Amino acid sequence: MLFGNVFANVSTMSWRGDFDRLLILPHRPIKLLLSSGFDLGSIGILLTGLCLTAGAGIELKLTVNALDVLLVLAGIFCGLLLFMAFLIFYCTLLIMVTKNNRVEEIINALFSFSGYPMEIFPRVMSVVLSTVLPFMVIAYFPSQVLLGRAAVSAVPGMLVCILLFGLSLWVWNLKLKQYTSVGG
Amino acid sequence: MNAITMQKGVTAQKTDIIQVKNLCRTFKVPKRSDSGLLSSIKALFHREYVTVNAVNDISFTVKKGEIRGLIGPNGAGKSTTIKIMSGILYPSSGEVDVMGYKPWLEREEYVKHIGVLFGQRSQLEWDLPPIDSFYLRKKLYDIPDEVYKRNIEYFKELLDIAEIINKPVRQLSLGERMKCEFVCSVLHEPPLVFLDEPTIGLDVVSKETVRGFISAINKEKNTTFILTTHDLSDIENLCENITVINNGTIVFDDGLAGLQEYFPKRKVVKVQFETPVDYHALEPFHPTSYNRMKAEFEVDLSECDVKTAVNRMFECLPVADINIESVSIEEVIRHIYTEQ
Repeated sequence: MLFGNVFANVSTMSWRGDFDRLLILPHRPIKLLLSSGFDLGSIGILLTGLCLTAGAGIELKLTVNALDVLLVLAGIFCGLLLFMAFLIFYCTLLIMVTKNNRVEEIINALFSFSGYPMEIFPRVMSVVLSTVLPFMVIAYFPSQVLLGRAAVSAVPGMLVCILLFGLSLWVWNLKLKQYTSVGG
Repeated sequence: MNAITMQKGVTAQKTDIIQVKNLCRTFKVPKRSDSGLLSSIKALFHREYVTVNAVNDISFTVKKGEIRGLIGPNGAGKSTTIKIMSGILYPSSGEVDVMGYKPWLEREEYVKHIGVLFGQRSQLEWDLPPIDSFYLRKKLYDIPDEVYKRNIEYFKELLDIAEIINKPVRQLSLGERMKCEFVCSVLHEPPLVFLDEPTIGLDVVSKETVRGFISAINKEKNTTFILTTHDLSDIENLCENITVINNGTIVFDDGLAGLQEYFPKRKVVKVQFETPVDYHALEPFHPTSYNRMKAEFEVDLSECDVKTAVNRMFECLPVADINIESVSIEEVIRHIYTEQ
């Protein structure tokens, strides 16, 4: 819901040369790009997810305390940072190459890993998905917290999310200096 | 005159609002010698580049309250210069000072004090009425409520847009959209506005309205305008000073009067005939344009004065009416474009 339209908006904007109009507004262009991705139509998916989570919690008779809620929110927040980091890398790539729809598919394919439990993957893959590319913090880790299985091993993944977000912003600012606009 | 700067964004009357010194911008552009599939495949493995000097060591100043025309042929470097001055592009070298700001380094603070209108790109939301786009800009620029309401009422009257600001942009004509684009660019009362081909595609009436708007804002609010256009009527009606850019360099930077008197030793004589005249009768006078009922001649004043030339025409041709003018601005501009 928050950033669902970013791919389409940025791709169109870059291709048609409309990115210039973001640079004449008194706000960071990356902030404007990310906020343009808000998709109210996805509220149905969000509500469905919340209902399913609540229903599963009731069915399993889960009990959560304040710390569990905090950890879940931390996981979701870090997952958002990770997603924004990839979006910012995508935006950076587009202002350099103008158009590349395949990269969007690659990013979506990568994020689909977050929908699976870590146990189904080989050990090496599990380590990668919880540290180097910590997609596990998006859904797997919060679900483990709700099931009473919070693990310290998720902390490095969260830190990597924050680092990746910072790195993406740095690369974005670097490449923005090399923006060449379109003719005319 | 040096700028008397009290604080950034505020300069004293009649001081320089823009100072450009030795500005350069180069682009590395991929070069494709052939078209076709093989050429595209070859380009994947071996890419050749050519360096284009879009802006090549230009320097000029603009005074506060001025309407400056920035003209040149297609690909001259006008839009690149505007984009550097508005903070969109970084220059390769050189200095630009606009109201005490370096545009590309202090962009977020700087753009609060400028307005930009791209004639070929819209700042309005396509599916929303213009009033919603205006409100969005009110939020983006933090425009106080009373200033916003006052400006909306002012522009509604000045541009006669009260009827259209509540219709979706996609339902508006080009002229109506352009009026709303202007409102977007000046709603936050910037002291400096860049207009990149603002009258492109507009009919005569709409152009008159746009020019009236620019003139009114310039007089009432002392707003400085930098105008790029291919329509020389815009230049003649609005601009006090003109800067002509060609191949990335400035080839003319003076007042409009300087452009009108670019060829002080040449006059254009336009003659209408009482009866049709064959071309061979006009040959001794070397007409620059001709049809059987009228013709134009250029008189080189270093060879012959106007009075003598006109007397000869009266003696040899059936003159019904005669006008003597300076060389037209179009001709001057054409000469500047092609000779430099």
